[in-house]
Amino acid sequence: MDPRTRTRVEVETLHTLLPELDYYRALLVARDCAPEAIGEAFRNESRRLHPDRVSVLGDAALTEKANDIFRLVQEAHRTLKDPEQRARYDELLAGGSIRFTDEARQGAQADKRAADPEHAATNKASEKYWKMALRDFRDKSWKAATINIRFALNFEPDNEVFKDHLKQAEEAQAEADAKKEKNPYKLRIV
Amino acid sequence: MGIAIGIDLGTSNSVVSTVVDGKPVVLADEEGRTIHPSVVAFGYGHGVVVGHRAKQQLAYAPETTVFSAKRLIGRRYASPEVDRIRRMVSWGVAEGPHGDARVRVQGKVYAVQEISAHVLSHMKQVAESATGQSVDACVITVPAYFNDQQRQATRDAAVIAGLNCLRIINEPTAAALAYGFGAGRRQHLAVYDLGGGTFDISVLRLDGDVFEVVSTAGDTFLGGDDFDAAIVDHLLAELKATTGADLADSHAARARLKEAAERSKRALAQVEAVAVKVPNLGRDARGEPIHLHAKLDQATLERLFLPLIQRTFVVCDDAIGQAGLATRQVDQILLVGGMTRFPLVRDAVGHYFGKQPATWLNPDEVVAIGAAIQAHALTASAGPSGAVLLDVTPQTLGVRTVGGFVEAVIPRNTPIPTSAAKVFHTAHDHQTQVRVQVYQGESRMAADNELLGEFVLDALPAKARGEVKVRITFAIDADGIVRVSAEELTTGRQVDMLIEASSNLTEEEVQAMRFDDIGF
Repeated sequence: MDPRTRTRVEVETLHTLLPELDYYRALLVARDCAPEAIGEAFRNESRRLHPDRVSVLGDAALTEKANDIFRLVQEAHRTLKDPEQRARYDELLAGGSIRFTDEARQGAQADKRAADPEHAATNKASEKYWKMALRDFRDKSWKAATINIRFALNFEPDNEVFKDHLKQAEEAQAEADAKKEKNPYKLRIV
Repeated sequence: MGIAIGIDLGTSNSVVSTVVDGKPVVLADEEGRTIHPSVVAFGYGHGVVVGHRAKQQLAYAPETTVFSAKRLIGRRYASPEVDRIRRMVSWGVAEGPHGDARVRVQGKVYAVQEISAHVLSHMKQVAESATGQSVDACVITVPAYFNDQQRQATRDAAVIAGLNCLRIINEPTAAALAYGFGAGRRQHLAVYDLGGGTFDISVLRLDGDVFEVVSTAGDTFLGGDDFDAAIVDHLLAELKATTGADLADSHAARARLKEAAERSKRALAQVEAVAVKVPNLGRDARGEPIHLHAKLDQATLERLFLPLIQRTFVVCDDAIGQAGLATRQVDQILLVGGMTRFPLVRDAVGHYFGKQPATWLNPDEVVAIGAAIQAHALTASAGPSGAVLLDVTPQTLGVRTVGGFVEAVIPRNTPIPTSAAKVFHTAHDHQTQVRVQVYQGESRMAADNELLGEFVLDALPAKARGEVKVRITFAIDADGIVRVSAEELTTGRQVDMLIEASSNLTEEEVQAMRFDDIGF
C-alpha cells in the first residue's frame, strides 16, 4: 500500500476505535511488557502517527484526528513509563476501566508524594515541626529530631512516616550515647 | 511553487537556511555573508535599512538604530524586564495602546513586531536572491523559554513580513535536529545555547528520525550582551580610575565601548591579551578629549565571565533534574550561540558535564539549519519521511483559584500534543458562576504569571460551596495552540475557549502593518 494511503487508513481506523483503546493497545504493547519497551513503542507510534506526519497530507480533518489519537498516545506513555502510575493503572484495568481518570491520577501523584518524606506532613501545624525534624536528620542532630517529631505527632498522631522516623532518630541517639559512654577521655565533674 | 525556509531570528544576528535535494544549506547574500545583524536602522529620510548596513550606522547614530529588539517582543511596558532593557539600549521605549512595550525612533512609535518583521523580510530577500525562487513558508526559531505571548508576537512579525509561518520551534531543538538529521543516532543529547540575549538548555532523546524533547529550562536575561556589558562596565571603571572621567551615563560612549568590547572579546578567543584603544569618548571638565587606553587579558576576562557562566549551570541542573538524568548520563553536548565559541565557555561546559562537547558544528548556523529541516518536514514535498519532533510545553499552564493562587493543570515540559483535566469546586455558597482565568508561568501566585485568557461559566446550580464541581480541560495540539474547556459536572453544561495567546496586537493592527499592503 502507498504510505500515504496507509497513514490515512490507520488514522481513520484508530480514531473510530479511540473510545475503547486502553493504554497498552494505544502503544501496541503487551500488558506484561518490560519498562524499556514503553519508550520504544512510543517512538514507533510517533513515527507512524504524529500529527506533523499526517499534516503533510494536507487534510485538516485528518490532522485533527491525528491530534486526538496522539493525545491518547502521550497519555498512555506518560502513565505507563512511571512504575507507580502503571501499577495503579493495571489495577483500574483489572477492574474494567480503560482510562486513567483525573481523580485516579491525582491519587497516584498523592501516593508518590506520600512516599517522599519531604511531603509526609498533611497539615500546616505538623509540617512546621516536620520540616525542622528533617533538617535535624540531615544535620544528624538526633535529640532535636526526636523532639520535633514528637511535636509533629501531637498534630498527626497516626502518621506512619513520622512514627518510623521517630524510631530511627531514637535508635541513632541511643547509638551515639553508647559511643559517648565508651569515650575514656571524657571529663566528668563529680 | 516556492520554497520553505528556516529562519534563526536571533537577538543579535539572524541566519536563513533551506533544504535543497534533501540537504540543508545556509543561504548567503551577494557578498557571501551568512550571518546578518538583527539591526534595523531608520535613516534620515532614506527609509529603513536592515542587516550589515544598519549595523554600520549603530556607531554614529545609536538613537535611530534599533538592535536587540527581540528582548522586547511580546512584553508588557510596565514590567521590570522592560525597565532593564530600556537602560541597556540607545533607542526609545514607549508604551503601546494595549500596555505593550514599543520602540520609539525619531518621535515615531513602532510595534516590536514591525521591527522583527523588517529583519524577517530581509531574510526572505536573502533567500530569494540566493535561490532564485520565491519563498512560500517558513519555520522561525525562538528561545525555549519564550512564553505564548512572545511566540505569538513572533508569528505576527511573520504575517507583517508577508511570510506563512508553519511553526515556531525552540532554538535548542532546532540545533538538535541539525545535529541528528539523517545520522540515525540513539542517545541523550544536551543542547547548551548561550546566544546574544538568552541562555537555554534542552535535553533530548534521539532515536533515529524521532527527536523527543525531554526537558528545557532557560534564563531570558543571560547572553552575550551581558558578557559585553560586563566588559563595558570594566572599561568604564578603568577609565574612571586612570582619567577620572565618569561616562557611565553616556549612551554614545557605551555604544562605542560595546563595539570595542565585542571586538576585544572576539580577539581574546585567540590571543592572550589585547590593547583596547577608543579615542574621543567625550570631553572632560576642561574640554579636553577623553581617550581610553586599556589592556584586557585572559585573567580579567575569566574574572568577568565566570560568574555569568556559573549562572548557566544552575539552569542546567534544573533541566537535567527534570529529565530524571544525572549529568554523566548525557551522551553528547551540543553548543549553540556565538558565546560558546569562547574556549572559556567550552572548558567550563566540559567540566560541568565531565566530557567535551561536540565541536564540529558551526554554532552560528546550526539553529537555522534545524529550522530548515523542520520546514522541509512540514511541507508536502517531504512526505512522511522527515524528522518527527516531539516537543514539550515551555511553561506551566494553570487556572487561578481562591486567594490568587494558580493550580497547575499542565506542568512545564509536558510533551505535546496533550490534554489534561482537573476538577475544581465552588468556593462560596450559592455561587452561580465561575470565572476561569488561564495563567502561564512557574509562580504559585497568579499575579507573577502571564494571564493568557479568561472566560465565564455561568448558570451553575445554586448549592452550598464545594457541592458544584467543574472539570476544566486543557488540550494542546502539535503546533502549541491551547484549547480550554470547562464543564459543570451535574448538568453537563460546557463552555469552550480557544486560547490564541494575545501578542499585544489585534488582528486588525497586524493586518494594517503588513508590508505587502503598502500602496494598495
